[in-house]
Amino acid sequence: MVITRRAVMRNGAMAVVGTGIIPSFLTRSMFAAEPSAHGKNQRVVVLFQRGAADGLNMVVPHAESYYYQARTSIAIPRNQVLDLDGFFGLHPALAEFKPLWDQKQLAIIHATGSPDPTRSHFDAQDFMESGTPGYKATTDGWLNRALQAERERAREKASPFRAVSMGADVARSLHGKIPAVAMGNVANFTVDGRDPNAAPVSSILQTMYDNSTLSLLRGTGAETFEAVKMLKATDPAHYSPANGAQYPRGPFGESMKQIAQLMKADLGVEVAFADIGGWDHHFNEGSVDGQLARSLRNLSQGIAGFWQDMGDEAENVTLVSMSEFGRAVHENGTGGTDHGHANVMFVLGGKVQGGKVYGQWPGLNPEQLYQNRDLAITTDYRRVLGEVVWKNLGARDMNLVFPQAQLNQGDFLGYLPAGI
Amino acid sequence: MAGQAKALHVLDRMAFGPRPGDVEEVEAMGVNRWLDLQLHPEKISDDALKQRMADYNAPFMDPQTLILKFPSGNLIRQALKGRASIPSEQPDQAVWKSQMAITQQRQERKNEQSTQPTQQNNAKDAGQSGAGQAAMLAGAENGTAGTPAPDERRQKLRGDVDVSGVLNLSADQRYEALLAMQPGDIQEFVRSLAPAERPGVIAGMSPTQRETVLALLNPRLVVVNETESVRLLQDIYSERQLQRVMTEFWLNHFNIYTGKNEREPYYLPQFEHEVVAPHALGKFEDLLDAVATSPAMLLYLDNEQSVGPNSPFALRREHAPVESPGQMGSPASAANALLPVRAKKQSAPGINENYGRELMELHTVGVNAGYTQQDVIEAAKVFTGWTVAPPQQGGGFRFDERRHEPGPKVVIGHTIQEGGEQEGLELLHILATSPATAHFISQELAVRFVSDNPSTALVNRMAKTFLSSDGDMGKVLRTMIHSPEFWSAPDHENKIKTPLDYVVSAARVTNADVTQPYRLVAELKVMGMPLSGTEEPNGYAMTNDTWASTSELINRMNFALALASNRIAGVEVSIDAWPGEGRADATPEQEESWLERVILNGTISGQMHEAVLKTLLDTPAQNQAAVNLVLAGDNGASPFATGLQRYGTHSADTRVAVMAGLLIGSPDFQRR
Repeated sequence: MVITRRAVMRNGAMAVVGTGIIPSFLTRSMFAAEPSAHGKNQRVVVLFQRGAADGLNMVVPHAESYYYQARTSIAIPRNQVLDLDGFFGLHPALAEFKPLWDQKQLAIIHATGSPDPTRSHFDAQDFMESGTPGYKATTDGWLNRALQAERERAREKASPFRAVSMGADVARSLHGKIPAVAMGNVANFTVDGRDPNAAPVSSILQTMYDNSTLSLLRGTGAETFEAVKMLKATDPAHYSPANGAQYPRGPFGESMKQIAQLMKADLGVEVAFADIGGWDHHFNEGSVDGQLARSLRNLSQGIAGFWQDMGDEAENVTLVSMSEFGRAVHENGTGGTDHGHANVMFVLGGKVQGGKVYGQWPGLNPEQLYQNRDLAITTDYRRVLGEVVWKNLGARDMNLVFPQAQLNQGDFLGYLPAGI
Repeated sequence: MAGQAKALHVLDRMAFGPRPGDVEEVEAMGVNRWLDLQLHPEKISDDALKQRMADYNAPFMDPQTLILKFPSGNLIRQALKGRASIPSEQPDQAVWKSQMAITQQRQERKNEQSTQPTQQNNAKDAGQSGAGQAAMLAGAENGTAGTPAPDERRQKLRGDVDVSGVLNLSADQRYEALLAMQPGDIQEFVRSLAPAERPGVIAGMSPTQRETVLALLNPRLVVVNETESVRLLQDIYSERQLQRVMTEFWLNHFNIYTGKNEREPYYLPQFEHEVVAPHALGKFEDLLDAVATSPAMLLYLDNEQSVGPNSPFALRREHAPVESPGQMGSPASAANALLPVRAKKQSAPGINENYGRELMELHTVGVNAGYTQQDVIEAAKVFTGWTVAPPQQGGGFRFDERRHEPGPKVVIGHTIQEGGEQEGLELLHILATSPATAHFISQELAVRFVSDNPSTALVNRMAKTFLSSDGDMGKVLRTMIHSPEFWSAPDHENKIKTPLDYVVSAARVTNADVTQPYRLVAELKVMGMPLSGTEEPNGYAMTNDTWASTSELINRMNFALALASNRIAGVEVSIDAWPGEGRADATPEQEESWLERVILNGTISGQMHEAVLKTLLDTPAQNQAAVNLVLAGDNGASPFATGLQRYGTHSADTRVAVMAGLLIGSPDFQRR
């Protein structure tokens, strides 16, 4: 089962897409031993495209004539779309995704999103990350609860790096009972230097935080000092990506590189979260080139760089992307797009049954649109995320992860095989 | 709450923390009198701040002058195409010509490169790495990492220009020499210098000279750096602390992203100094109107581009070749106007919903006020025609009747009759006086100043004052501060400082002499709170959970140690000058107690005090090694360790500096 679904085997694409990007597990897994125990060693990376990325220009429904009518200046011309299946195609700036698609490691879910109708960035992100669309009172995040819902690993002594949030602060998705490390910069993640002589200074600070009367600071302090200690052992200041991987400049490329670094350092990372901003293209969005294209190049190069860097270890990684909502089908009066509804999610993974667009396509004709203007949602985003954490992390209590969603296995789209 | 604790609390919450002596002063005058005075900033003299700000010209220029003296990349590209006229006066002309030459060189290199495989480029963008002048001078090099400047060019320059000769000139002569270089050569000149030599380029120059020289290299960055520097100087040194705290509150409420586009930075000084600060303690509607007509907001939320689909502008374009938005005043010829052709790649002009939505969601009534998508569309129509004049025409707010959508509009149940610019003002009035707005703003204030979960009673009380006083912020703040909730926050409701609170309060409590404020601005970026640096319109959250993270604590502890031991260049702390007597023969215990009084106003918990002392005294030899290490800053991984010019450490014993750093990094100093 595991063997036969390997992309390479099915379409023999190996030879033609033989760029440096194919990890060796693709070639060896055909005869490899049985997969490891349930959920064991599986890791999940979650990316949030903040600002509502334009899904219709990322994965273009190029067979829809209405798409071209609605987007006279920003549509991606049919002859420039990177065709996937005759109906959908990638924005040319996502060229780095094409080999991953051809190797069947990349799956796409279209017309997906949060069922709450809000077009507020803030509310929509909050709902998506809390995992409870429409309920504002939820204080923790879905990804934190997914860790709580793990059957296998819940009893093990957890590493402070079990959940890592890239950036100065912990993302909303990871707020909650399970401690999460916010990682601004791996190389500087230390209290006043790496020299062992600095230890007393660090230990005084630790004592102070241990004694803080404010529990939030006491708890975060404890996590901080433990994480610093563990990280110190891995020589974090010296890292060079493997397999010739290259990351784009800027914070997103940095985040992806550091996720690879932490995962490879064997610190017990189970989930990592990273942001990529700058998707709110109300004005002058561009088509094949332009603002969106630049953002997409950054996105795809960051992901492809990570994938190449991870090499064989990518086999046990699943990466999923999300954004708070999509953008209106019609371009607006200023060469951009206003806030919409459904969007597209990417799932990339060594175990993913990719090379396929999952979900139901609702159509783009005016009568098929949500509120006469937006792509309708046919797949609740929680069905997509639920499948990742069920199959990869072994999270079982879906009522804990996504209260109200009444999610069960039957709701999953099947982009991951059962029994990883 | 007793007198001193009260004074400290009000300074922690309604100011950016106390400076040495402030608590005693407020205690002596009483919190009420302090508040009365702070609510009238015009009565408080601010000479010390003015003196510090005299070092900066750019942030006090109007946008039109600013863009002339510090042209944007777009204007330079226009000038290269002959579409913008180059100023005839010096030194402006030299700046333009330098930028034109540098831009052209860059384009040539790019063309050469496009035939070669792309190289990985790890250099930080000068605008991102942010260390003010130093970064700009360094940026001259970083900009081309991966594309090494031709050696022969450098050689040639070295041959033509007596490099060390220039550096040895007096400031005035050096300035003239730099201006006299061939356009663009200053970049090569700076590149040819060793990093340690670079500060010498502008050393001793007047503010105008310095700004001009830096503008020869990167004019937009001068604007950004100086705007942010002055903002931080005001937060640290202004005696009008309540006005500063409220200005920062509104700058977050009406968030602007400086990186929105090339024009945005040129409007930020005006936005801060003329739009927000003067109204920070005034009537909400005045502030709202000022923001709505500010080019900064019109650009940031795209309204300057929004066009009524049935406006004369749009209807005319249906039949005319295209006139791109923003380029007005070039009417299509009559012959062209008859052609029934629309350029293929042009979108039909129409509304942009961005401002209409955020005006209601974030600026006034809040997302739960019950408005619909249709309301957003109608609000956007109301504001069609509210735009920004091109730089050549003054670059200010402009109502363009031709772009305005005709007909009445219905927004949240109100019918607004056709009335041009007046429609927008009418809608702003409806929103500013709505009970939902009173509640929304009161809630936000209470979260910022009182508690993450303020009581409904408090918020209702504030909202009532808001409505009965026409949104008079002074009155709303009085209601808040005179409420028992303001004073009775139990421990779990303590507020944790945001990075801005933290950095500014640390500079204040240490009485730091900040001569390079951009060092602190850069620190805010590291801590995840860059000034005008969040792209999304909702600004930064003011709740504790946002700012208590592992990364946050590490950055703060490292910052505290670097600050107290004078490892941040251009930020000098003189512990010797802190108030306190008889330190000469003090024991470590006495020193520690003294530092607690200065930095924490004696509020450290007994248990923590014991723990610190015990650790400090238990292993003296090892500790001395640590102390030396901290002071030397040669610990490789510290972000402050490299490339910083160290100011002489003080005669006071090194242990005191480390103890001070520890207290600033302590959990007690994270609260406000």
